Amino acid sequence: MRSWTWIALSLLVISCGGPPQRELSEVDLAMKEAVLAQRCAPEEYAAAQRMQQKANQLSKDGKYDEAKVTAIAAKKLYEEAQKKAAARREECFKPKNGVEPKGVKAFLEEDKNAAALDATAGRGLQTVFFDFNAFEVNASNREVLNHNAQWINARPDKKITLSGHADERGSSEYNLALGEKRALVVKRYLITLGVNGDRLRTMSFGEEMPLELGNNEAAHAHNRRVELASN
Amino acid sequence: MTRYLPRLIAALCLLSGGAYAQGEGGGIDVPVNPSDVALIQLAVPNAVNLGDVPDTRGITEALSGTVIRDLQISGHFNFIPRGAYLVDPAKEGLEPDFKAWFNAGTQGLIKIGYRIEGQRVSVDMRLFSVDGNERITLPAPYQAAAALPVDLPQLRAHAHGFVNEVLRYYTKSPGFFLSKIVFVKRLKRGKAIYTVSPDGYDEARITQGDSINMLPSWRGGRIYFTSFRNGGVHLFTYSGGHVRPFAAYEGLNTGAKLSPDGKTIACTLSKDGNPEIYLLNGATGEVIKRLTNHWGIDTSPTWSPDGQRIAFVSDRHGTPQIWVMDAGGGNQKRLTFQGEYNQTPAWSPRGDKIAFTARDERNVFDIFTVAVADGALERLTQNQGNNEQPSWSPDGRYLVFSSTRNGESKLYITNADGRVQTQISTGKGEYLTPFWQR
Repeated sequence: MRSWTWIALSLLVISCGGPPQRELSEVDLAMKEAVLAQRCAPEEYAAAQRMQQKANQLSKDGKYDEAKVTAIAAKKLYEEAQKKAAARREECFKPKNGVEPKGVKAFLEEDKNAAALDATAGRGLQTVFFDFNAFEVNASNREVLNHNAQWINARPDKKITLSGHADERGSSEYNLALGEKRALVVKRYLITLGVNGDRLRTMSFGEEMPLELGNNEAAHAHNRRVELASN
Repeated sequence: MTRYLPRLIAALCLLSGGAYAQGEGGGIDVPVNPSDVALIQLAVPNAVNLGDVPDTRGITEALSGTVIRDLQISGHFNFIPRGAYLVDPAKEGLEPDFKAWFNAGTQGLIKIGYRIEGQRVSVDMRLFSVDGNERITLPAPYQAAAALPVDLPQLRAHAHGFVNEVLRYYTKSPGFFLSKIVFVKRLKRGKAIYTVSPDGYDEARITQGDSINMLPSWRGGRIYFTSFRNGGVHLFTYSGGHVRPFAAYEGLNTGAKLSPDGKTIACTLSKDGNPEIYLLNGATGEVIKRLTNHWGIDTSPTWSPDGQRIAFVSDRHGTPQIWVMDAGGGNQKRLTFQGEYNQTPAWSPRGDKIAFTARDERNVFDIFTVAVADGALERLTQNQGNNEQPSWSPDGRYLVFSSTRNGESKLYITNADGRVQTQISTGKGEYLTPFWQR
């Protein structure tokens, strides 16, 4: 069951086309999330790293479809490494022969938001998508916004940029306003979920930076979005 | 399992597309209403070299080519085919045999002669009324031969000025061919601001570098544009060869339009948390007043010619529509009620109509006008690709717009009733958002 689902998802990615920046940056986030895995599941972590390097290389070589699939696989490996690490956590931090492993104290100190982090671990900031000519929070993008709020609240030292985008149809000026509106609505919604508004910066790119080229609905739907990036 | 894959992929693609069919149903449904206009029969033979020095620099084309292009764009003339001429214009010189031209079926005749004299060229451009048996006296510098440098842009400018006078003679209103159009061209990286003559020649690049520059307007000797060059979405001006920052408030700063009196800028800012229309001091960029205050999107202001009113786009009723208000922000009224996607208003210099882009019932973009007095719609384009971003000529008798009717987006000029539509841009790349110099 699981394997053919992955084949289907991979094919989906291929059939919808486009450059793999999103997938590559998601792997990068997953890698940054996998701090615990680096410590407590080093072999699995290293395997994920190798897969990530492969994805980056494929992308450099212009093999975008393969890069996309490989990036998704790498992200999956990081997530699984992180899960394994969580299971081994207790053993991994236990003093061995009466000696506490090096750096555990510092790690635990850094990890004081561990509970919150665990809830969002392996899944970084997610792009929020919108309907045509719409800037409302609705049933289809609310879950992603809730996740993002949780992620941001778990990392109080980070500042977040919200970049609003529109698809290519309609005037470039209206689309700048639409992208701005989407970013502002996301900002307002995150504030209602407890995020400090001072940490959120908005920016509109209108129709100028499409995620996917092409004059079809699949491309348009991917381009109507707010991207979230942390410093 | 594999036999389900295509359906599964289709379903997932649909899911990733979201509820995309929503709200894309009804569009504007108004047909083009073509009007019959009597065309003037005109003969325009090639410019004749009257001297001994051969033309090796394209002088003939710069003179008669420009005149023919301009007259074609004007839409007032039917050209007598050259095969129907009864005399050889090259041998005839500048004094016509009126009877022979009358028998060729023409009402008007344009004759151009030139003589290269060292670094200069003497150019004689003449208009004759064939049915009146006379040469039409045009104002200076076209009443006699003019000495010009051998420089193609200057020769083309001389020809544009001549066509302006020909149009003044026939239509009682001068042509616009000495004005320029500013537009955006998409480059490999970024977008740049360019200017071009109304016949598509003498293209010049205004902004350098590979940043995104867009939404140009041009009035009072200044080009205003919106640019990402400083990391935000800010307003800049261009004049005398220099780009200067104009407004960089927090958030969006887009679409600056100078008022007819040259004192005030109308534009869109989002510094107070929402895209709204503001008036700025035209010299300093300081905010004078916020004109709109609504949770929806308000953008794309355009001034009425008397400077008393502003039309703009608002989606406060759920879809983008054309609205009108007083220049102080009062009396905000919706002007378009047909269609679900009306944008890019441009108020005619004659005051009576506003041109705009509408998405029609088949989700195609077309140019329309709406009467300010009663909201009556007229359609200017149909069944020819996407047509967007209309901007009026200074005399309000023509519009320039972008169209994908021949593939890539290019610039077109149409007369105000949509009768004659001519592609003017000839270069490579996508030509977008034209604005006619005021």
